[in-house]
Amino acid sequence: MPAYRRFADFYAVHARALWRYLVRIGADRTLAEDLVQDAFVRWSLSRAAEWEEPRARAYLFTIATRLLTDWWRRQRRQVAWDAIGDEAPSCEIEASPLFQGRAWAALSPRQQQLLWLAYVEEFSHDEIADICGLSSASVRVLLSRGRAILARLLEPETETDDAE
Amino acid sequence: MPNDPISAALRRDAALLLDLAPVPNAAAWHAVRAARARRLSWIMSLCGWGLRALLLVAAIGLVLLAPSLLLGAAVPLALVGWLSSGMCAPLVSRREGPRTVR
Repeated sequence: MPAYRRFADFYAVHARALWRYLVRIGADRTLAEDLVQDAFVRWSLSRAAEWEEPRARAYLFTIATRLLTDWWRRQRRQVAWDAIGDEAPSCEIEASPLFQGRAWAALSPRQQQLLWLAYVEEFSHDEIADICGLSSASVRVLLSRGRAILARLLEPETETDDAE
Repeated sequence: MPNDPISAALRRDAALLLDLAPVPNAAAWHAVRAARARRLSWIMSLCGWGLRALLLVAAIGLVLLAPSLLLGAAVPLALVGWLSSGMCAPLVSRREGPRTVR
């Protein structure tokens, strides 16, 4: 398959998922669109464009994560991921269970990122470690904590639903 | 973990969010093509200057080796002049510049 066709297919499959990930970890919609474009251009110019699909996809998310981190640093909004503060999520959806009781907003950005990569994008712990720049052991621990917090935050809604 | 409530909540949100995601367009692909065109243009330019330098050296060498054949140098010199006019660059229009897509 020619390189341009592979790129077009890869872009069509993953562009919206990457935008969704960036929005959920704190980028606003317009910024997420810009970063998606940048990430794909960088990906296509890297060796990753020749890699097999799962590895290439993980590298794409790594590029996007770094681009967002760089953008935040340029904006002097944060130095570390955990120092963003309690800003409102950029794209709340009323019908989403994550925004009933503001469960998602109660999580730290790092917890949001790990939960999203693990449960929505279904990356392995090793892949998440590469994307986030953490060790696999740290990912396991942080993910477990994030999961416990989200379970506790979602619990009232679940109980209410059960009662109904 | 299809029945896990956390996984289900996250996937439900992901599905809702996907409806808001912008439709993929060709902007990234155009950027890649523009980058490739720039790189190709640079390589062509380098080749052009290399060829000119080669012909110039050949012409000078001919004159030094056989001054009596000075008239013979006129042809390569004319060729150098023609190449220097930029007419040999096949992918670059002198009027429009490199053909890149934006």
